[in-house]
Amino acid sequence: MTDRLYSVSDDFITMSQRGAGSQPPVDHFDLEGVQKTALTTARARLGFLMAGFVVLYGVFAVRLFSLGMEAGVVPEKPENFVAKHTPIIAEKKFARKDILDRNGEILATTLEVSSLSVNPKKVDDPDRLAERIVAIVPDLGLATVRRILSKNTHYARLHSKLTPSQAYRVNALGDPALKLERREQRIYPQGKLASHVLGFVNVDGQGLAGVEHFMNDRLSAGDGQEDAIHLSIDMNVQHALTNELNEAKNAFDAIGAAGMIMDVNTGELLALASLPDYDPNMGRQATAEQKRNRATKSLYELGSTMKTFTFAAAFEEGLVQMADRFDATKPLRIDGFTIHDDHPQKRVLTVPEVFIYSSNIGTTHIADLLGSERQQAFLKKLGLMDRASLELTEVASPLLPRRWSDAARATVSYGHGISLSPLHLVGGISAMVNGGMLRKPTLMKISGRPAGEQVISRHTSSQIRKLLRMTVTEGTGRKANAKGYRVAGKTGTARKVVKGQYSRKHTVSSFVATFPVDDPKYVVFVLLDEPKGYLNSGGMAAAPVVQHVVRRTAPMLGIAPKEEDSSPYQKLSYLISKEGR
Amino acid sequence: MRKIITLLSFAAVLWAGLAVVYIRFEVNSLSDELADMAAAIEADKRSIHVLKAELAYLTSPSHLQEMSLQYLALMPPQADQVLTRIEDIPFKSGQQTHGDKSGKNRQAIHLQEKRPSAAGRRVRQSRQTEGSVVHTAFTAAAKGEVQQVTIISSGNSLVHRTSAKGMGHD
Repeated sequence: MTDRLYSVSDDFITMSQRGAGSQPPVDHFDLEGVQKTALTTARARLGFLMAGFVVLYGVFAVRLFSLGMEAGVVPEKPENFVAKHTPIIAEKKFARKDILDRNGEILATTLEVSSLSVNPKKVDDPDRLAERIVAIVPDLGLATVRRILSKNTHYARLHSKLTPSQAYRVNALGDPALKLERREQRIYPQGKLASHVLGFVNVDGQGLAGVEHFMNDRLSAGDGQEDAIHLSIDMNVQHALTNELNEAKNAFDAIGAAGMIMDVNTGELLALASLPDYDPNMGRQATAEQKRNRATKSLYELGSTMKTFTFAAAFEEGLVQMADRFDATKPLRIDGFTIHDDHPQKRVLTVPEVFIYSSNIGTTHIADLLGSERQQAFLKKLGLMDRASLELTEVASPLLPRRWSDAARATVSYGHGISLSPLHLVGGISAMVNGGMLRKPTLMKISGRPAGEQVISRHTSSQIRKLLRMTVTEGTGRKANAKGYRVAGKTGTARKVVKGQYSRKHTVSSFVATFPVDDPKYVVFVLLDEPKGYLNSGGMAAAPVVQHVVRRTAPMLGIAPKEEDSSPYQKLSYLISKEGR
Repeated sequence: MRKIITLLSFAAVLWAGLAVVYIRFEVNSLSDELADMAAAIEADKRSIHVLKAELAYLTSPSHLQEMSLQYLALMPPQADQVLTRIEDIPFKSGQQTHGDKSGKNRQAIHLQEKRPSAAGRRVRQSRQTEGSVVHTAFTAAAKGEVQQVTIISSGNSLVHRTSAKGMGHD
């Protein structure tokens, strides 16, 4: 086709030239025959060609116009109008996700830090270089740096954590022997706060304890589905609890302390503290004693706080009424054991009196009515005979009596002969006060109320709440009364076994409380391990801590103080003789 | 006529060519600018990340408590310092109040507990002893009753003792 077109055109040109050369008059320019036909064909073809081009450019013009108009239209949603050709700079994704508290405050994060290493073989003048390095990084000793620079190796590490400005200045030295490497470093900006919840990581950023260990896979998964893990912990509540515990631990010269605050309606732990604690930023330097989680991993004979369960089981089975009386005039002997009262009343006590004066003798009588099987079934139902469950690796299984003898039944009823972790107790007590719903304790922030298991009736729960309240207003827990916040709770003073004997000097003093008692929202637990001094019982050592903690945290938790109303307890208070006080 | 058309089309082609070149340059410089901006945004994001960690450190409760002990004489609030209804907030005279001015319906909370002071506590750092900061706080609205509050800071702990007429708690 093209060839033909050219040939025709050539003909046309030659013809024109010839015509021009012979100078014929224009009007006589006449063609005939074959020539005329060829020219007509050529013109027709040219016409086609031109029409084709016109159409083509017409399409271009229309398209150009429409594109021009389109660009002028503002897109409805700006996010839809994204330039297709965007030079994306890959966003820095750290290998490990952040851990945040329930309000989004940072508890653990990852930062980029520079580490400084050196190739000593490339160093010309070790003394001079050492001086310059120490001038920038003063925490390195001059002698140490000199020694490292004079080593006969190809690689030696000088510093693992330079600040950005130090790294810049070291880089500016321009010494080829020095090498800066960027690496990721786990940072815990809150220092020691919640160290037993968070745990810590090793050099490679692998979790070694706490949530860092338990959630290692989720924290290091690069799935991009979540940026951070939200814990149930409230940083400020955690601090208040830790601070007050530390205060009491120092005041009583205790070897350790533990505390927890749990939302009774969801099972979320708002605070979990264990003392002594450590700084997770230097987690590897922590001693075993510091790393020990007394709130979840340590087992204690928790003492009288356990009486709550004995009473709840007896109420639930309909075995005792509030007005029933039990003889607590003299110590009881069972299987060669003698059961004493810590606050002896030496008289016949009503049920509320047994509870608020924490009578071991009275509780043993109630446990007799209950019987070993029902006692065990009840503890089993509350999960107190199984390994505790929490998002931590450091949880414990209880130590139970080897044989559930009469003596075991008696001692378990007031919290001896059975060793539980405080976490067990807090979970159980929450179910006792919240209307009887047992929920799994958790360290993860959850929304809504998770399903629970009804373990006692609402009525029994309300009776337990009344007894707990009377303990704070009339009984052994008076020091826990944070006025206005309607605290209810139970003291616990357990003797520790030292050299096979229960020791009077070595005690575990605890207090478990709930507030506000008219509509329980939180359970607060405080434990002091071996508080020293004469007044080291749960009521004297641990109860005041609960009072301070409630007073400090209630405003943060949105619990409004109210004038305390004693009318719901009027009937009960008639059953309590004031001579015990 | 043909010459004009030829010239015009030549000019148009020239213009179109130049326009293409111009647009090309423009696009290049814009995409450079975009790359710079993206890099700057990423750098800012990293700085923000570091600054967030720094802020978390500076606002950590233990740090704040230390600062508070050093510069303020604030203590954990007492139950009767917490108002539960907006009507209970005393407004300046002449200002429109939310509830009734007479205060008839005010639900005052009467707690047996005595507390160090009402609102308007003025604080003065009286003296600094070894290892501990001692503040003396006294009420401005004192009607004959002067209450002294001593705060002793030891390490990161907070102990507060209150001495005044008829103080009920430790």
